[in-house]
Amino acid sequence: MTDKIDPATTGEARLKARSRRFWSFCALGFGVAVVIGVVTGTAGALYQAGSLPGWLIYAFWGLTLAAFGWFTWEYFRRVDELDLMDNLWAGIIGFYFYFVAAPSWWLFHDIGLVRAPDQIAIYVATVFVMFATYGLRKLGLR
Amino acid sequence: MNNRLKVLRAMRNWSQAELAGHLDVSRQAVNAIETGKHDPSLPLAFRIARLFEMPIQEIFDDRQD
Repeated sequence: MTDKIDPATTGEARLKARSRRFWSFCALGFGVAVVIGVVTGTAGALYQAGSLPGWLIYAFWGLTLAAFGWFTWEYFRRVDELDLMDNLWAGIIGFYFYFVAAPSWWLFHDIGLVRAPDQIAIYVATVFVMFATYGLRKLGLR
Repeated sequence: MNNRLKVLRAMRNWSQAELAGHLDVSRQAVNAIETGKHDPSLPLAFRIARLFEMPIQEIFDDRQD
C-alpha cells in the first residue's frame, strides 16, 4: 500500500488518508450487513408464509457467506500487523474459552449438576470473551 | 526487544502519527513498538531501517539488559 501513496505527502497526511480509507471500508461493510440483515429477515418471513422457495434462502445464505468472506479478506489486508495480532489473540482466547466452556458445561450436565448446555449462551459468551480480549489489547494490555 | 525508535523519531522532530504515516501502520503500532509491547515483523523492521537509513541492528537490540 505504501507504494501507491505520493511520497511528497507528510506522514500525518498519509496516516489520515489511511484512517479515512479504513473507516470508509468499515462503514461500507456495516451498510452491506444492514442490507443483508433486512433482505434475509424479509426472505425468511416470506419463506415461512410459503411465498418464497427454499432454494432462494440457500442462495441468500451463500451470498451472505461470500460477502462476509470478502469483507474479512479485505479487512485483514487493510489492518496493520499490530491489529492483526490483536485479532489473532482475541480469536485464540475466544476459541480456548469455547474449548473449555462447552465440554465443561456438558460434563456438569451429564452428572446432573446443572441444566442442559445452552448453545446460544455459550456462543454469546464466546463472542463476548473475544471482543473483551480485543478491547483490552486495544487499551494497551498486551 | 529494546529499540531506539523513539530517539530516532525525536531527532527528526516527528510525532508518532508522522512516523506511522511513513511506515503505513497505525499510530498505536508505533507506540507499541516504542514501548516494547510489540516486536515488529521483519518486513516492518526493514521499512523502519530504510526510513532512517540505518542497519536494523543499530535500531533494534534483542539482548536483555
